[in-house]
Amino acid sequence: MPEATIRAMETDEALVRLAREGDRSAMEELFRRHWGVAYRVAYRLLGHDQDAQDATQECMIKAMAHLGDFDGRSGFRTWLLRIVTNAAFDAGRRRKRRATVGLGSAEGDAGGFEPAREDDPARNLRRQDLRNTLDTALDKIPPKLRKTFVLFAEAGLTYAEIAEVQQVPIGTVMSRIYNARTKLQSYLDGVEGL
Amino acid sequence: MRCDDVTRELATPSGDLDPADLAGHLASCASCAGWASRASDLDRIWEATRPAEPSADALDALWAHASAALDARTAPATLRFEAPGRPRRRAALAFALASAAAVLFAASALFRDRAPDAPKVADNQVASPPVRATAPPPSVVKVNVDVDQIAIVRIGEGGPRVEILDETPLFASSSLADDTPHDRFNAWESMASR
Ligand SMILES: [Zn+2]
Repeated sequence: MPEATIRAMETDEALVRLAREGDRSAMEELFRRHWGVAYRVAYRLLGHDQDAQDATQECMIKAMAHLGDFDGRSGFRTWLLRIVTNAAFDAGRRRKRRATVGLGSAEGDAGGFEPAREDDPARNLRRQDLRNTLDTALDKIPPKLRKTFVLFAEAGLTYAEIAEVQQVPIGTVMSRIYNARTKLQSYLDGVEGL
Repeated sequence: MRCDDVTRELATPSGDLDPADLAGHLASCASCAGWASRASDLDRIWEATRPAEPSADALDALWAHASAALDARTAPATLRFEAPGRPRRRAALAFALASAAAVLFAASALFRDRAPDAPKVADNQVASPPVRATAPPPSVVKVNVDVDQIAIVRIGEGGPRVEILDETPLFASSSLADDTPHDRFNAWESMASR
């Protein structure tokens, strides 16, 4: 059986153990396994594809370089997403300031690695409209609610995992998800063609 | 059954409410039915705007970049036991400068024809190729000198300036708690903006 196949069958815990012992192929499997979810979370928090890619890559490298700091109390993915949410939050503030002083721009953003999943330009435009609408709504809710909701809706973390990431009780996590959803729904209410 | 309990159960399912009771309430309560309808609108827009994940080829490139960055990180560690005290720091500093020079040389060669853009922090991308062909050259380079130190090399009109900073341990649980300031990332942010 090829090594990559064997690696793909290992649990995160086993891969982390091997990677900490210097096994680069175990590290590579962790990297490949979790880059996507880290990127999707960063994207939802930043609302900008290229910034999300940069933040994700930076966080993945840091996480791999500092596996020794991972205490194993939570899962690897939970630990990684904690790093990503905090970094994305700060990257978002940095980007806002860039835009404010006119050094950057909030130009149109492809929002993903593939050029487009549709051949129909009207549908692509429609998706971009939806993305802008949702990003605007996400921008309006407080960062803590936004992070919590993204970890729940995008990463699929459990209430307990989010509580671990955010260092708050599970009840607080559930309240934040509820409040975030209610606010998002009210901001999107009345948007034509949803 | 209270409306608040119903909408909370819809937003954060706990299994505490009987599904039949829930359905009965939704059938007879216009307010909760409206909430549920807006919830499904949000779910639809969320799904429709999920960004595409990297292809296998893109992941190959990302891993190659990360792997090179990790190799560059481990290089200074070999300096740790060669000489105690100041000589070690000088050796590490020399490495930091050489690394920064390599990054800047590579960046300027790649982006010679491009106009300057906002300052950018490059993180130990010494031996690795840039992932983004469209990125501006870095004017601030951060290099890990030792486990708990980084060197910031700023390139200005008067030539490079090097600054050694001590760091707190990375990604310790307490340092990334959701409700604490993200000092480490904030520090980078302020560096990048100088
Ligand atoms: Zn009701």
